[in-house]
Amino acid sequence: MSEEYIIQSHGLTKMYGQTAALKNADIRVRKGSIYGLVGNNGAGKTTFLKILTGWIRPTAGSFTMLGESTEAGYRKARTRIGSIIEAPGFYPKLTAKQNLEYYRLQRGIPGKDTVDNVLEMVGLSQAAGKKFCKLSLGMKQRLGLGLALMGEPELLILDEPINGLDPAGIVEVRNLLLKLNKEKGVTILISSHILTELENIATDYGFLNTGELAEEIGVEKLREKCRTFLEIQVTDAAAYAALLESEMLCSNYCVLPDNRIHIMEKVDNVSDYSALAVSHGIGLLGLEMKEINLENYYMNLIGSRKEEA
Amino acid sequence: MLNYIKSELYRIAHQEGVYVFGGICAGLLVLMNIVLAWIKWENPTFRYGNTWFVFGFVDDVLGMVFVMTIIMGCLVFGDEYKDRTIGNSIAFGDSPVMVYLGKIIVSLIVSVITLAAVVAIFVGSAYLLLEDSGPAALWEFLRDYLANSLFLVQGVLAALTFCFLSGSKGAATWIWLAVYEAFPMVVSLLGLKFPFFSKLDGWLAGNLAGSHTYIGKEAIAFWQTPEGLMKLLVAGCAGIVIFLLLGILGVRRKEL
Repeated sequence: MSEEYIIQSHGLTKMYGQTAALKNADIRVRKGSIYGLVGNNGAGKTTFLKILTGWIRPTAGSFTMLGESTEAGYRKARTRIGSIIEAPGFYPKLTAKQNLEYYRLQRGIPGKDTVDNVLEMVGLSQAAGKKFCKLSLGMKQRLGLGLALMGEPELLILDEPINGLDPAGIVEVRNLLLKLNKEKGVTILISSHILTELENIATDYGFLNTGELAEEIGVEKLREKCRTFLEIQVTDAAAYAALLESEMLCSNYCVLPDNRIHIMEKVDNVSDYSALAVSHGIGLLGLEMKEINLENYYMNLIGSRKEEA
Repeated sequence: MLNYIKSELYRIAHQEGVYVFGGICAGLLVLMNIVLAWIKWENPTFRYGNTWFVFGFVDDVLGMVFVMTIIMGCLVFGDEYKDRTIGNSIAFGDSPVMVYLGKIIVSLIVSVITLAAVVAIFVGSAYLLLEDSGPAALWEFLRDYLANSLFLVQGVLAALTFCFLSGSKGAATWIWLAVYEAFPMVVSLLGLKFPFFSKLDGWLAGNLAGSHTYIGKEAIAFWQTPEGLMKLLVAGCAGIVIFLLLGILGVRRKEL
């Protein structure tokens, strides 16, 4: 089992006082995959990544990373990992090149041209002599990515790596990550708010909601689930949901805020649903056929969990 | 550890902080020599235009040099937490304790090099500009600095420890001043009333560093008496051990 998964956590929990930033998370990242960690602010994404990179210690639970499951083992494993957590951290008064050289020396990476190669890879050759504090947000992000890539890591842990990048930069980074994954077999654990970006590269997804893992799903299964659905907005969602079950025998639906309901089955005849509302005196505010993408899949998922709660 | 030390030396060599600090110290000392030499040149009967006076003067301000160890500690610490650079080191597999110990070693290396360079410039300029009063004053000055190096090491170590534990250079400076300046002052005041504090007062590094004692009318460095030497070794080493342990335990628990 542990050979297949490069990261495997069991009941991982992080408490800050009485607040749980991460609750019993069982997250498994397959070797060679691009794992997209999806979640709102405060969902626990960064907390999980910080635990992996040693920034914080879990309150409970355990994890295995690159086959290691002890503190000393994690440190050994981390020499084979590249990471960006939150914003990239560098010495502001050193240049881009000096900052990378500093970490090259620290990590004992051989080859003086390593830094130049990395700068070229992330498109920063021209800014090599610029002090870090003078770099634009996008350039800083690229430098952070360069640092993560230095030393040919087996695993990349990237927290919001495309923050601050312009559209061309986003495409470049996306292609670079895909290339590293396809050609060098680098496993990538990536969190991003920009779900459309994750949709373009991820092979597996973990959906976090208020510190809990709501679902872990492969891209194939997700595609199966991502199909056309009917979004209906009524004046009384609860009453309409009851009617869906009793009259339409429909159970695969999800109630969302603003009295919106997503109906996933039996959507061939849309007029039946409008008629159902009208015939029972429920105001029909909107009716639209939609296709599930990652964003509304996630919204449905956390919406349905709220309903369950 | 060796790689970490190499990288830190590279960083410090490529930042202006230590050069500026060393330059200001050396510049002020050379300026003092120039002013004294100029006065001596204007007035040949001027008594202080010689090496005996300047070496004695710099020896007397050793207490101030001790306070300057805060600057050295802060310069080497950088802004590891604010810039989140320590996070990179940990994410690449270095333990926080290793980072802390690495910084201490680097700060000691950098401090020794800076102090040696400043002293060399000062002594060289003194011999070049002022009247030579013979080697005795120089040896006494060098010997006193060497003896007090235990406190200088402790000062740098304490500054770094406070930087790591508080996460900020500003807070660390205040803690350092509280420990080495305010606390001895309070103990001295309490010593006027309670004998225990009066005894404790004589063992505190903040009071001992660079201090002198009197044998008759002659002032000698405190460590030149057997009791003073004992105080130097105990207060110097105890402080180093205490702050080192405090630092190791603290950084182990600290999260980013």
